[in-house]
Amino acid sequence: MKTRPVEVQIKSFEEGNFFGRMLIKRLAKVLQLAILYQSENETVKRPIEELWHSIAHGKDLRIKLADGRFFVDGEFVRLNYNALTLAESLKETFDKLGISEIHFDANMKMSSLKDFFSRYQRYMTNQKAESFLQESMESIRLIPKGGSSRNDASLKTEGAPHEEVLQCFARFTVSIDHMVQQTLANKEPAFFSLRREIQHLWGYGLEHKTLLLGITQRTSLKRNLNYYIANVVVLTLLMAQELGCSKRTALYLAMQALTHDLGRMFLDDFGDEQQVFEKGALREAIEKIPFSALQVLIAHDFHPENIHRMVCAFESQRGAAFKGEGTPQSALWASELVAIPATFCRLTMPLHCQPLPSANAIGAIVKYGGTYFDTIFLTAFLRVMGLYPVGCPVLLSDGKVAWVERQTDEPSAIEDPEVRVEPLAHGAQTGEVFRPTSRGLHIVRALPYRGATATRDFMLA
Amino acid sequence: MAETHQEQKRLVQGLDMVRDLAVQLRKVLVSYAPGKSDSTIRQQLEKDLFSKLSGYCDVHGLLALDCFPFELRWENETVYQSDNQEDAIAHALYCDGINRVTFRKGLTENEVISFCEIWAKSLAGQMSHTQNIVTETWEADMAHIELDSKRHFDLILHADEQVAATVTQAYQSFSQWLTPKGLWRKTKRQDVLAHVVTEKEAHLGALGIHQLDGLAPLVEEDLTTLVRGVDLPMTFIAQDLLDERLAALEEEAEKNYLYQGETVEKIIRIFWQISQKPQAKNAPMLLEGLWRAFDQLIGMGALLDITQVLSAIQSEEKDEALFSGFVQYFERPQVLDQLIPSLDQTEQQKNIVDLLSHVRSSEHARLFPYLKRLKTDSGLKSLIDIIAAMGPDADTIVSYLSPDAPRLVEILLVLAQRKNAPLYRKVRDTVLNYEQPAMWLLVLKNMPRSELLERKRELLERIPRAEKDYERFLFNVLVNEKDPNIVPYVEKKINSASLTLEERKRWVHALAAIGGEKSLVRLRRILGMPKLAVDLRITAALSLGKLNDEESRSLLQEISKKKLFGNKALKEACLNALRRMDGSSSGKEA
Repeated sequence: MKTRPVEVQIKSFEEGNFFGRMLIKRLAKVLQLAILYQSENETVKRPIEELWHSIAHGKDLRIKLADGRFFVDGEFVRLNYNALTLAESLKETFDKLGISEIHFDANMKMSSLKDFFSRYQRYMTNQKAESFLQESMESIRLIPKGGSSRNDASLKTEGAPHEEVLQCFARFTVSIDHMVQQTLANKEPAFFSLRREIQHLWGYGLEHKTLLLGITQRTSLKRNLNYYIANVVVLTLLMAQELGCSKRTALYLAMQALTHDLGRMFLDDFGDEQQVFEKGALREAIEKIPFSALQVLIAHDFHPENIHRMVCAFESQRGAAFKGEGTPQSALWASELVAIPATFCRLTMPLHCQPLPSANAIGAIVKYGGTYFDTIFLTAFLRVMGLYPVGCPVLLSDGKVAWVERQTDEPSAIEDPEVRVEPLAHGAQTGEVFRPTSRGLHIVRALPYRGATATRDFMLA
Repeated sequence: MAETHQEQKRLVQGLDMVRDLAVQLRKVLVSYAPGKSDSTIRQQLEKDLFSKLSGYCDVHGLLALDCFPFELRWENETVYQSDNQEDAIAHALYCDGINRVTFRKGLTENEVISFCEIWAKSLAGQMSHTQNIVTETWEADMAHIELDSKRHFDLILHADEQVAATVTQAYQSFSQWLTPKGLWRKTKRQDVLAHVVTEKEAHLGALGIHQLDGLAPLVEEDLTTLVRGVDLPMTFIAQDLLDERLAALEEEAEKNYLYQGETVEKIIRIFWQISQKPQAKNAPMLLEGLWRAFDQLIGMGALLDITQVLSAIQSEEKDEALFSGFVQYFERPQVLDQLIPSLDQTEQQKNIVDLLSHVRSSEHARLFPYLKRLKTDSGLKSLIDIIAAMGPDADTIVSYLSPDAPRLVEILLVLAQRKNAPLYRKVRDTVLNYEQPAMWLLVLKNMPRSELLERKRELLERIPRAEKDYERFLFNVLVNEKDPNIVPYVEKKINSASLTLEERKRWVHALAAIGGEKSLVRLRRILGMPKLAVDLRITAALSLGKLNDEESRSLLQEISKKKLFGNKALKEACLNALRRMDGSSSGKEA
């Protein structure tokens, strides 16, 4: 009598990958043997049993091959040398069968698995793929190639430069969300994928800075935490470019920016947890780390690397919130730098309060330059943003509303960026782009965004 | 036709060159493996690689290698292939989705070394979870090395079908802002109006929220004051301050990239403190978190720090149970996978031994599979010491024995010898039962003396089936132990015509070494056998003299006094023996 295997809890990334690799190896091995032996033969019986033990864990299991890479239950399997040979053999089998996925039902019986391999053997002898795919099999489903419902249009990568930048920004914001979802679902977040998107953003920052800045200002009109994080990351990268940082340092800064509000990414309501921290009950014990966020991370099996990041995150938060007296004694220079774009975005985005016009937010930040904010970093920020950032609405001296189109490269002309007036009439064409001073005008002030006033309970840190 | 021929010639010549380059590349990559080569050799290999690679790129402009699971190709020709893991290099690139590596003209030595380091790190499985070869190479900023890889984001798209729809939706929403030419689209009328309306609204209510939100220093005028461009610091006035900041950032990034010891130590301590709180219902969960922090530390090679923090905690802590639960982390396969191979590195050995000492003795079986994986003797010795200290089960040792793995058998026999002999007799029995004579010698070498003497009959009986070394070793031991019971076996050897004279002489010496009445009788017999080779008799005579055997005196005198017959050398030997006997007896009297 077979006892039911104990449910395996995939906990950390390495364990998850280990499980994926093991499954791929076992399946490939059995498929190789099943061609030669009947499923009742001793040679193949044991491997089939092992495979069954790996699969039957009380939940459905999917093995998917896409773009030459394997995914087990939606989790990318990072292969190593030992698994590669069998993975390549499994790829060939998938190709021969013309399938892209195999689904195993949660309560698959051992007999079903044996039956599957017997049929597989018959197919390999007769070479009738269609009949194999069409045969109904208990608890096992084979998905033919192209049977997936995925929308391939989103994979489109080539296009006009501005399309690429937009796509990259879209991918980045989705990556952030996906990372959080994966973590909450106890899976391996594709961190290096996210990292790669940041690397792409760096390249776009060099080539299409104005466009990228414009996108951050457009997205800042929306109440979306992912956009907030993406904006802080982009502004941090642009500041790093302005300062002349190396790629490695820029990535380091971007990662700090990405995680500077990590707690918020996992918790909708950070308030209560924050209060516990504020009361100081745990303060001594946990020193500088926001306990609540840490607890959440651990509860969801967050990766250690990011628990470490959590520390950095808190350092950044200290900078961002500029609490206390005088210059914050942050442990990290990165937090000093990230504090500036983070504060700017918090002041200008409709996250949990009425956003300020960009110029006012910059004014507030400049006021605390040299005390709460580092002067050099602040200068770099201002050189990136200007007084009126690209995409921000401004009021011209003739009473018209205009949008900033392009920053000028000359810092002395900071108050005179190229703008475009928006006619109020229906169906009006896109307005002409000009510098206000060229028409005897000037910008009176930046205009605020009329967004929903958020409540304090939205997210508070 | 000529062109084709020329092209082929070029291809063939180039192929040799690229194959040589690929082999050189492999040599450098393999040299990074622990215990493989010292830094001087590696530097030389790196120099050679650089000169060949840059030389090639200077002449041909670039070198592009296509990556396949187990091979590298150039112009569709395989230039490097390997079927064993030690020599395999291409899989690391392939597994990270890299299709092609291109080295371009202008390549610098630093670029080559950095790239090789990244590649080797991946081969050694030491890549961080947030990195792969592509991302690390990008960050290392190599202008002359390009990687052509599959799109990373596709990993997310394939992993979750909903993501594709979300990305499309996000992209469509963003693309509404721009015209097909990339210009910003006009804003909707109501949005323009909305801005104007909002402009008239007071937003001072937001101040309270901002202040609550931690932006305490903000005051009302901060939100309303009009800022002018002249108020803004737009140029980096103090260049030295900029350089200082930049250097600080670079240094911090570098440190963070490698290892931020203090922070992680802080995490460990914090977790530890939280875990100790009795009200913390979730102590196991926090322990789990603590272990994760260890994962990170181990990944970064900061073993000394872990060891220090642990020993500090252990000395401060009285709750043994909690500590024991805490250190069980070091029994996990994925931790052992990371730790044990580093035993091959002498500088890390001590720290790892310390960490592995936390593995409970009952869990010793987990360490066994690693005996096969260690490459250096010192690494192996350390692990054997650790396992031996745990008092491993004889059954566990037996279960890892395999007639196909002589090296492992030897290791396990060494291990078994360290412990109480009777308990591990089973291990030796198992190997003796293999009927692999080559392994029997290993058993003998690792058998406690008492057991060997006790089992000598059984062991002697194996001699006809065993190898020469086995016999030699066994007799040596027994002779050294002066065991009179082996005298008949020794005599048989002395009389064996199949042995050389020299060997037989050694056996006479052996007989003398055993000593005792039984040996003396045999020696006298040898001396008195005229048909026996004279050299053997000489040896016997000298041995008898040495042993001061009074009973053989008459026989010695008889031989030495023969006038017409007898070998001169033998007579001389007998006289020597007698003189020695006299000398020793007068010495005794004196």
